[in-house]
Amino acid sequence: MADITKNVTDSHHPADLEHHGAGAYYLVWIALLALTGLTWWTGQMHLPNFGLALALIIATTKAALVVLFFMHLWEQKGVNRVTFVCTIAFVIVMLLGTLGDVTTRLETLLPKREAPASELSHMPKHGEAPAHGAQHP
Amino acid sequence: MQPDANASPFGPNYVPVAPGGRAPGGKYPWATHFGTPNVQTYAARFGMWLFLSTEVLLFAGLFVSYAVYRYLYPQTFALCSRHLDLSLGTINTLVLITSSLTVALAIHFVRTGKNGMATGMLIVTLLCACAFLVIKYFEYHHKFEQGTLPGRFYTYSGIQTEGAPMFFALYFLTTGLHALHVVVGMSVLTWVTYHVVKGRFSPVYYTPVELGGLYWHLVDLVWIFLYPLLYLI
Repeated sequence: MADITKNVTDSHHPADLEHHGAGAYYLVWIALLALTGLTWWTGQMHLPNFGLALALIIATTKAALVVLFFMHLWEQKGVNRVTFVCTIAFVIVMLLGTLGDVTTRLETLLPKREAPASELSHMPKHGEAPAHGAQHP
Repeated sequence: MQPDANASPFGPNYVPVAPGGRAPGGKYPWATHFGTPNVQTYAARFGMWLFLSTEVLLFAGLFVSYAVYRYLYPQTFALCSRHLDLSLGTINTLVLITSSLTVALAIHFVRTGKNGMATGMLIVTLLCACAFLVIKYFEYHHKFEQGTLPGRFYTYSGIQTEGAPMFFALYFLTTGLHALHVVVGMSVLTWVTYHVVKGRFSPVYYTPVELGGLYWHLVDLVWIFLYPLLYLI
């Protein structure tokens, strides 16, 4: 019992998070602001093939920063460290499984309906009314 | 090995209590069915991470729906996305990221015994949450006015392609569920702030502050993905 007592009354007992200054939080915050700016900038380029992948890469990087450092997942021990990571893995399984089904099978069952090309030839920029905007206040 | 009610084997900062019991201000309420306070803190964190996992899966269902319909109507989704107010969405992203910083700092200050600073940070967090909801209200209001609403309530003549009502159904479902989480998070943080002010938390005992903060970070996490997927197609 004496050992446990010593362990738990020590400010660095195992259940405590590591003590470090607040500086790391400001660095993470600046990184998150910069990445938001980056996704805002690249998002408006509407890169035809790489746009979605780039947006998801940036969002995942931001999420990783929040989870690892703001939420201290990096410092968790044992099962606490594994639970959330497993959840993310299963989210990816659910997403890929569903998309695999939809992209390979649904097209044969449902005709893919898309907007007529005439309506899509002049994509508006952000803040503009649609090109054919019949209703504009 | 069970301690009697008056003496804690872990020192005066760790007060043995019945499950769910409270300790005097700043002391650790050690529910004695946990072998040590360490085990109790560990179990509390485990419970919170499990709960957050279910939350992630709840939102994941909506993200999967989004993926399917964006695959079916890629051009319409891009068209509808450009009809959202990018400035308001970007401002809300910055507001939520900043609120995540302030809540992380609040936990840091409680752990270093600066409850006054922690209270200030929590109040800034709550103000950010209010700002987020006000901006969201203006966005929603605009959509109700022009009729970019889900399903059969969609009356906007500007975009009349198939799939547009589905985009706005997903927009309202995802941002609506997220806004609900903002409101719940604000309630949790208000409770935490009240007890920080009352002196219940200290460097010895700050588990509820930490877990409330984890919930708030999840709200930020969801928005980090919603922002590019809705506003930046």
